[in-house]
Amino acid sequence: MSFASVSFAGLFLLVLVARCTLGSEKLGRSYFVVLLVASLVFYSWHIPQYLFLLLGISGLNYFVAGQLSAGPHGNRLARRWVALAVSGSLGTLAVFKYADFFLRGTGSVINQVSGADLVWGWEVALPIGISFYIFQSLSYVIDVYRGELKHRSSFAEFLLYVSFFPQLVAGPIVRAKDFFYQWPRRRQLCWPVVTEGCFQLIAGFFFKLVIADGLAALVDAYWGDRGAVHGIVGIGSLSLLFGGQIFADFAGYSMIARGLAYLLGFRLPLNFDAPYIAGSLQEFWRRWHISLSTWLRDYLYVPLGGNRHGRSRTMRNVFLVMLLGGLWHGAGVPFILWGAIHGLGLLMEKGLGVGGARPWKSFSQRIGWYVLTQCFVFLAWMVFRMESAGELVTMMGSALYGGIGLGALSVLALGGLYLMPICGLHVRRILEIEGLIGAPRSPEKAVWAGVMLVAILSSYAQGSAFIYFQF
Amino acid sequence: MHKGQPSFIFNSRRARRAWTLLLGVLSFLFALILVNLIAGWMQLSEDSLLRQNGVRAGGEASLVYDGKRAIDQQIYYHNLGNVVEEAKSADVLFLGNSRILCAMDPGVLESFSTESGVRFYNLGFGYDEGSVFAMRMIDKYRLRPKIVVVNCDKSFWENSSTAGKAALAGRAWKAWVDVKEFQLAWHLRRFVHRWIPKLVDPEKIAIWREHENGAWNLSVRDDRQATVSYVATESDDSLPSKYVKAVGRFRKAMELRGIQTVLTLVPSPMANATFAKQIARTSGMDLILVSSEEAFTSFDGDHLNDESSRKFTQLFLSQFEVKGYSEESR
Repeated sequence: MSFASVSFAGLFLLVLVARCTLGSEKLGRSYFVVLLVASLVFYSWHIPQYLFLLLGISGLNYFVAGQLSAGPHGNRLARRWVALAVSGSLGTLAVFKYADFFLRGTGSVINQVSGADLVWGWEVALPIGISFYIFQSLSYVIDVYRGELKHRSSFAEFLLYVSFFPQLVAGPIVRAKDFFYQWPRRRQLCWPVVTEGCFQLIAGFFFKLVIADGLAALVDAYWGDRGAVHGIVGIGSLSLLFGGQIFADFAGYSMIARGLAYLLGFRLPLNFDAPYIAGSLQEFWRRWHISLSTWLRDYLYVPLGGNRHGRSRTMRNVFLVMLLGGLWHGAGVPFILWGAIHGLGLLMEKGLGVGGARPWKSFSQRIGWYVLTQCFVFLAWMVFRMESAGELVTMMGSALYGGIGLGALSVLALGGLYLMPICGLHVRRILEIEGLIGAPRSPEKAVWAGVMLVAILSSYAQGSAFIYFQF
Repeated sequence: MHKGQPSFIFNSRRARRAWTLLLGVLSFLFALILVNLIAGWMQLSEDSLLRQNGVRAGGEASLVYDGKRAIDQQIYYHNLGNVVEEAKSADVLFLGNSRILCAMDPGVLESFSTESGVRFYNLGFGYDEGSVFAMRMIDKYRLRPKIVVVNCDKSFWENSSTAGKAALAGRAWKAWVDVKEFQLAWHLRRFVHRWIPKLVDPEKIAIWREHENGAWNLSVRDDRQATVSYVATESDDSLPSKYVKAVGRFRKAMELRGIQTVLTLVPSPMANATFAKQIARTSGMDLILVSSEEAFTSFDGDHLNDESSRKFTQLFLSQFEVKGYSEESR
């Protein structure tokens, strides 16, 4: 079920009625049941059979966490239980996400060798949000294993944590310890909660329906006519437009998710913090998809040894984490390449010692490195958007031998209108960080909410699914 | 008043909230006026299909395309609103994609029906729908026309469309929910856009489908008019094996059900006459082509407009009659 649909509006309205009546203070068993049922209905709306997958993954991880909490921490048996949860969850993820890619790759090699003309592959609809809820379930098991979290006695509570509908299909990836502590806390649906929740919702829908979908129309048309994308300006324009689209799409989703959760009495973590103001790649990953970055850091980078075993091991770990981060987005050479490119970029930064928010002392050096970083990030988006590795070669050829490509400026001029709110958001954040202005206050938010609401109702573009639903 | 103390109009929390709310409402109204001024300047309202009333004519019909999304595969495959009933009693079914839906004029067909007694039903589907979906429809509802007329462009012999696959894979209750949601969204959008004009991505086409004859009833605001005709490729190479297989499968399936297949080709940029002749030669099925010297016009560069569809239908029916198919299908 998409947030931008009439059926979701109906479902949320029902839950909101329950929030105002049964769960006016957010506590109470009946409100909990409403949330759980709504979450399961929300998930099963797409393909009902996949509800069993969600229940199976949750059941496995909950069972393992139960075994871990019953026995001593850190012994061999506990490690085996964790291995079972990890292999079971990631194995399921691999089957749904990577089996087709693997079969097609293997099949094409076999066809070439044997001269056969067989069709290889396994076409299956990807269960939406599978990567997100598997990562959430795993973080729970690992936290229990590490002794950082107490195992919940109720499976239903765990199931609600995994399937909580505002963040079920595209994050943020919430940690159990950030979710469960909120459960017993009283939270009334008072004025500040309503206004903040509604503001997040309006801003999220504005970024998705107006900005992301508007840019998607331009990017898709331009991308579909790849032969016409020439020169540095052409490639640069396309990367700017797609960079804007993916930010507006995913950040918009995250804002909607946070707004919904806030109205229902929960806080979800911040997932985006103006990533395009990052002065280095390291900082970019502290601002972009924060919940995934921190997940990978805590459950992959640190267990691999992090930076505790010398420079070369650190370098290896950084690269590996980025590569797997790319692979997490989907099976395909472009995603792996995108992860590898970011991994190499981070290694280069580490080698030069310029990671972090303020890598250079002088202002001009900082600006120069910022421009380089953002060019890197935006050009890497082109790889992310590609459907096959062959497109990379075509595009590089076009960039090198396609002239300057000034014709693309007309598309960029139109896209610039859509990019303006994204720029505004980022400039405001810079001013906040520099202490020149404070966080937006209620009157400012009220003005923006009014304007954005009219923009949504008058300028929504052709609806498309959220990009991150496919991950 | 002490320094730092709020002024009298903001001296209570409730007053501050009221002012904030008022500010939000005023911003909304200001933006609304601005949007209306822009729409007036761009003359958008006159073109908006969403602002028109009663665009459909004729008998009972379902909205199947709202400018954003098509839903007729869902409606037909799950027979929502009993739409397939009339198709069950048809003597001739038209199969193909949106081009045949736009090319067969229901008025001309009706006149011909009255004279000849042959009942026609247009069972084409949009989104370049292929033969698999058509066969599944025929099987599911045990449709037994005497003749099926297939618009023989490449897409018919390729895989099902995404919309077709979704309809085939989905459950009836889900299709029902989808259709209801689609209709509700259409009414909501029409309601909203009475006051708030649509600035971006205006709907150019809305389509209703007549239950009586399956015809598309279009409401069009498109200015991409163009002359269309058959395309002929110079080379007459043999058909790729995937088309040979698909044609063979379809022909066999129709023969098993006692249905005769006749091919035709609606003029469009996709209408390759060489390809259609190859299909006819390979399968041994008859092909009805209208004269290549006739000029046809499309409303969007692809689909025939009203005038051209009348002409195409008349030309098609005259050959249909001459070849004795109207006699056979009675």
